[in-house]
Amino acid sequence: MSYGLSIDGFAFTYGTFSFIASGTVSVGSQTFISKPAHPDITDWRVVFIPTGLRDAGEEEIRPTLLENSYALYANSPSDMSPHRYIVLGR
Amino acid sequence: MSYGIKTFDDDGYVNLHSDYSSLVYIGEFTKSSDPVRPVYQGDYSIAILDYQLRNNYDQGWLFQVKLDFDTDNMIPFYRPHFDGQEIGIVDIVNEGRTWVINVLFNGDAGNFPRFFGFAPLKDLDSVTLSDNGLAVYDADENLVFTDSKRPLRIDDVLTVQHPTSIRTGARGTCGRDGTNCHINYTSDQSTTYTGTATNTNSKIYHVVPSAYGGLAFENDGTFERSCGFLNWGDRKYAWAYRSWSSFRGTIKHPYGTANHITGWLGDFSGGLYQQKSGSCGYGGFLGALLGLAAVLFTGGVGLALLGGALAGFVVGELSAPTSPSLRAYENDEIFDQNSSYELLVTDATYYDIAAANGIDDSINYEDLTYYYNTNPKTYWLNSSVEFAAGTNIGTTIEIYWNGALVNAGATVGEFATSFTVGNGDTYIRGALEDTVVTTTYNEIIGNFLTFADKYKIARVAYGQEPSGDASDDDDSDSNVPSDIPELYAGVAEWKSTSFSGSSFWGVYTSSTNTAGTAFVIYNGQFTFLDFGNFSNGDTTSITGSDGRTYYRGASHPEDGNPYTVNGLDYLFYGVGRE
Repeated sequence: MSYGLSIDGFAFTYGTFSFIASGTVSVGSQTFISKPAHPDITDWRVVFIPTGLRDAGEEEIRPTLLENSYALYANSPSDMSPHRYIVLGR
Repeated sequence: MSYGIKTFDDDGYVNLHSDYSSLVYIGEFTKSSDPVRPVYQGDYSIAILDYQLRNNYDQGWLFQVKLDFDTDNMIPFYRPHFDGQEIGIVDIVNEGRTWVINVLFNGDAGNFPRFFGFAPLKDLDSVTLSDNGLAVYDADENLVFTDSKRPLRIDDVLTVQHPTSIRTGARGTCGRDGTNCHINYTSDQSTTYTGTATNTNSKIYHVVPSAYGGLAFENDGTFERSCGFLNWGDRKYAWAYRSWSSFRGTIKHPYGTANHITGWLGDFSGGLYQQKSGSCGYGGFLGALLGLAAVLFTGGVGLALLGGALAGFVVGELSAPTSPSLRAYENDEIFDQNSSYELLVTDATYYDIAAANGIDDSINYEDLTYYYNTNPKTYWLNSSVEFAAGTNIGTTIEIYWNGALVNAGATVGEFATSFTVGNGDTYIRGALEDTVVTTTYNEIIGNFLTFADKYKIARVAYGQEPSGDASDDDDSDSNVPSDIPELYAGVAEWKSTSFSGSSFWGVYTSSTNTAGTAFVIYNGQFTFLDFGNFSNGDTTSITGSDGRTYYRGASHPEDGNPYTVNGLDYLFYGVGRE
């Protein structure tokens, strides 16, 4: 390889996501992650991991994500089933 | 960061940063419930046969996996069981250090996908570092990177969404024939997202779909028949029909393409038919009969009528419920369709889990060897029962291998051509070998016929290992490591000078070559052009010209003990490749 990081003969040049932050998405509140606090991160992804059953009979839904240049916002609708958010970045 | 390390990938993104933990592979989930296909079986339910579940209700299988690992940040990835398999994560339940996933998939019951857990490296209790290499810690002294636990490699990442409807095509109708009538609910809607990485059998995917919904149909009516003295009276009848199929959002990833196709797969279906009559009267009508089947359940209430179909979905000592929530539908509805969510793609071979069974399935299914035997039974039996006039009464499938009924307790579709049992072994229907027709008389229904169609059969053991003859279960002399698929196929074809589908290890001796010479054909190709790689006929492993190691497998005396041709005596063995 012409540049980059090589560890014991292994070229570590591929793309990966690091774990930036995580937390519980609370019903009725908006959780946000400030982008300027992580200046080296330019590509952001948020995965929502349910942590309990979603009751289809109660028409429960998953949280949603809003994003602008300043922050990531995990929105929690009132009919949401329990979820965690995991912010990934690179 | 004030100090530390950060590196960048070929695309200019950070791929190592000492402020942030890398994500690493932590283990594989294990199956904790057998796949089920729940169907409403309460009052007034109509029978839905297995092939109708598949062809009319588009219903897949629900099953459950679990993994014990102490983290709050689990990211599961799945590996489809076959090319183009539809898969949807329904729920993830976390209690303490136990993670449970409810999954919906299509195919046979044994075609369940595999799941692999990823979590932040800093959540691992202990990590064995390399003797030399690199270890990176954050400001709180957490290990956030080490070369001994390779970080999650992102081959592709997309944001996907489900189509806005489940089916737009015609569905048919059901009326007074409702006890034996089924609407066509099969989904015809999908959305294709194209990434940059080509799907292969070693790619694994993380995605938690949001969308779910259902399709439903109802109909009712009345009719009357003459009755009473000289048929002057009339008897009123009222009937009602209702059925539905509940769907979840799923995704499939066709091999050889970079496409990811969001669509729908059924998780719960049901049908009801009710008919009542009034007394024989002379005019008037019993209005109370109308709308009788409108008394139905909605939402989760229907679960009370499932009769324990999901009883296996409660894992061990967990206090939290883990059975998926099922919903019956009275109207077409879709929920949570407009959410977009992330699809992450990586490759299983990158995390030292490539040697696990099932990742390397490079076998050409068309080249399998098929068997047929009546004693012990080794065939695929399709028994169709019909009235003498030709009306089909029902069909049952029995799959026999070496005398054992391998689909005992499971239902196989009438038109299925393969069946995978719970241990992962797959049985494949071959050409029709024999048909036996018997006529039986019943005092109530008269004559009916049974057509017993017997097909040849092949077996592919879990890990895509084509087996030898059905009677050859003695692998005690195999030298192939247990975690490597052992192949043995196409010897008969090789004897007839065609070896396009052959995979075996051969040894031949002659009067002038008593030490013997070995050779390998793997997936139809002579692997070693330089036979001098083999010392003699007793060689049991060798590194080939392609750099891979080949092992001599179990002997197969049924194909020659020895097989003699042109003055050479041949012995045949299975073969494994590392």
